[in-house]
Amino acid sequence: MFHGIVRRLLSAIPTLLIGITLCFLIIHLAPGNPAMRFLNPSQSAETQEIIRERFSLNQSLMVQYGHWLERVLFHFDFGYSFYNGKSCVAVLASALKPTLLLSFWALIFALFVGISLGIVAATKADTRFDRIINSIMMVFISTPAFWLGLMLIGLFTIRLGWLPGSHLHSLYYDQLNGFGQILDSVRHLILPVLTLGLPLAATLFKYIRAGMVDALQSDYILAAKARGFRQSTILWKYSLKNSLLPVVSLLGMIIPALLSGALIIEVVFALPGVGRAMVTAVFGRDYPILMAGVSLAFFIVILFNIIADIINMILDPRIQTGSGGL
Amino acid sequence: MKTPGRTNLFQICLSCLIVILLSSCQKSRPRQFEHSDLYPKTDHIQDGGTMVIGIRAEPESLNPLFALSQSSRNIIGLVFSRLADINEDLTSFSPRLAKSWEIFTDNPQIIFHLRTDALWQDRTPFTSNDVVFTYQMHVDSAIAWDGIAYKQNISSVEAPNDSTVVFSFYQNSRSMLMDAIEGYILPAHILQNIPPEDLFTADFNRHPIGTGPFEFGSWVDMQTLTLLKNNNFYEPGKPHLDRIIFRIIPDNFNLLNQLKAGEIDLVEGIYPKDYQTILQNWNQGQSIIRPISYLGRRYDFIGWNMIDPESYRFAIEAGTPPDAIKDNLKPNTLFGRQEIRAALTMALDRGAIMNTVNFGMAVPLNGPVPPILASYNESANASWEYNPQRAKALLSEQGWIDSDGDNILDRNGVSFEFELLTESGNLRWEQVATIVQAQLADIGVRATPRFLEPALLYGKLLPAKDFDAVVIGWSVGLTPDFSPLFHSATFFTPFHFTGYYSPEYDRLDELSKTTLSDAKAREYYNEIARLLSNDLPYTWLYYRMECSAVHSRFKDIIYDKRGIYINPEDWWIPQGERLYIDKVFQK
Repeated sequence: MFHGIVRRLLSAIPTLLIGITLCFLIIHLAPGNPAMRFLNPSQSAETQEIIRERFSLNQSLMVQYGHWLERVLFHFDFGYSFYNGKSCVAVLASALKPTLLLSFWALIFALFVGISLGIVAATKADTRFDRIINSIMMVFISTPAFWLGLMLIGLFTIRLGWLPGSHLHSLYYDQLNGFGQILDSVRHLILPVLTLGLPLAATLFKYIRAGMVDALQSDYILAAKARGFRQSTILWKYSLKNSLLPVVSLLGMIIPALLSGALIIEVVFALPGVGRAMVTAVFGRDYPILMAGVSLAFFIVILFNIIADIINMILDPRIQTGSGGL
Repeated sequence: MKTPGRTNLFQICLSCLIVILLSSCQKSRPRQFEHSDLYPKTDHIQDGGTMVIGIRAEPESLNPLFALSQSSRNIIGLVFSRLADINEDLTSFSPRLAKSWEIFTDNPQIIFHLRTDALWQDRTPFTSNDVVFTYQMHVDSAIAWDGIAYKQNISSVEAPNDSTVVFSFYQNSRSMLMDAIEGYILPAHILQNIPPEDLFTADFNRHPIGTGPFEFGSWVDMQTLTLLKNNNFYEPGKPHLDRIIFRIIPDNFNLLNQLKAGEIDLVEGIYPKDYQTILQNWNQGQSIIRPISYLGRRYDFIGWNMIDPESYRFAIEAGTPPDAIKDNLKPNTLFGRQEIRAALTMALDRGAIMNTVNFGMAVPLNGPVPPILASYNESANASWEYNPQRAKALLSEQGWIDSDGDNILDRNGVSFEFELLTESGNLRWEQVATIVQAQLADIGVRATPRFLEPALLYGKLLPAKDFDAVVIGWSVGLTPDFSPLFHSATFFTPFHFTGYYSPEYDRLDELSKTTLSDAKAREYYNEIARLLSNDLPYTWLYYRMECSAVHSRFKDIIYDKRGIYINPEDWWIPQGERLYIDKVFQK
């Protein structure tokens, strides 16, 4: 297993390099010029050249790439934002916290709701309860996240006035005591976590329910029943364990999906996360921030895929012993 | 000028010239408020309270040298001061950091007498050294300040003593005072030790120190930016508010809801449709949100490409010398002739377009001079009334007829069809493009709207001139200058994207800039309006009204064509109308 993990880690390095190189080329070759936003009708050609020089846009693409890669690999320096002159590392470091907070709680919520409802629905397969839950989950799967967010804001913020619809904290957060601050943060996180977590919970629900239904109808469960195992043992020990395997693989894809989902949700709920920083960077052609964000995204995708592979290997030893294993 | 991304409006500073009187120093005029709920007549203005302002995009920088977006500039205007501010008439000025000034025309100079009681927010005294340093930064090529055009006629800035500054000019001009006072004054004692090339990334850009009525408090990324009352502001007893918080909310739906819920006190740039709802609620006494509208600084138009894009590209690639390039360009097959542009303009019901996309919050515009300027004269503009029959006849005279019965005009086998570009995400412009498509279809012209994201659109448009027609808008400065858009000297600069060329325009433009007489200048602007509205490099659509809304507890807010941040130091809240947010920070 150790060799498998090492091989997997080593194979991730060229994947990461090729990925970010491609992204660098795509971002820089896309039509549009970041210096355009600094254009002024009364500006001289020399001034425009100075601005291009400030951002190294006057150099050839390969030279730009070489400098960028050298700075990143040897100094962990992703450069400065074209937009506000801030260090890209500082921008993303500050934006990462809210994104991780939102993604973490959305994942916990989705795992809890998706798995528990999936189990219940599987044990009551083809009943009215199952059909209703299935239908509700289908709605959440097919609903665009931004629309769901707006509907939740409309209901809980505007109509009922129960929950705030934007930002991480109230304006007077610093004036609150410790408990008040926690409560304030929780209130602000409920709607974005629901918006991000509900579609994810619905996806997990589908996998768990399908896996559980299959497992509950399989021969080894029949054998377990025949041997007089308790229903809860059959459910939790045998059925659920096997049903979780595809979910673990799915998690490798879900984590990046969570980040991309956060992208829209952070704009709707005005949260200061990576998604919002990236949206601003895309519209402003802020190449350094885009490249830093893309590199981070690549790293996360690869990292979580490796983690999912390792967990799969632990849960299902056939993977490491099989010829197609790690 | 254009600020791609974000709210997506061009921030054109139709830079300097005109207006400034060659009179001697101006006296400060007390502000007059009329008696109303917004301007209560009282001797007991009460200090304290908080204003929360909703903005859509995070300011990029709070350094006046690098700020481009309107939200950044608004905040900077609260933290920093100029030597003088322009008045509502756009011809006179009120003293700020300068107490008074004298203008000399023989040997063109302005001598500013500075305040001696002004302090920087770190309590360092403001001196003439700061003014000289600011000028040096403005003209430093490493800074690339976007207002550098204002400083081109200034030959030197000197400080004979701490409270006097002398601006010398190359030549006498009506705009000398405007040129001198443009730009906020920077603190030399903080910035002079930073190399200019490093200023773009300096910490000062996020923690500014100015001389304005409010000082920087805090900035939480993508969340809030807080300004606090400057207790050492040079106007005694001001400002009245304790703090101003800018809350960054990118989503318009959320922004409006927070306004309605009273969580935000002021929002600018409200969509006209939403503004009408706010107005209706206010008029019916159902709302505490006061609607505010005024003729702003923006107009929208259709720009026609008057030159053949292929020939332009070929000329550029062949390295044709600038002097010869105009002779090497072919006129655009569709829009090269004035008669065609006139026909297309007459085919458009511009009144209907204006009312549909602006919900009544715009006024007609038929020429280049914005109605907010003193030089505006509607009668000088050529009139192109909506007349599709006449439009069709004009096109027919030019040989454009529907010879093959496909309902599209053609000539020599070429159909009259083109792409009408605009910025994606700008609902107003997308609607205009769609209506124009429908109206032109009625006369047999096929316009295909194409919505492009800003960086791509302006990349095609401004440097490359690779387009047929475009629906966009400009922001205008407080003084008229159309040369970046139409003068032959700017033919190869990005904003001159229509390829318009007229020796007569060049002559009038130069005369309007060099005359020392306001009356003469006005005549030249009338001539320019007549010429351009007849030649139609643009089809001007409408001039927009700015729609804002503010919580009704705030008093003495002056707003006009200069904007809504004219007198923030005078804003105040009566004690009896204060809310939780006004008191919570005092705990």
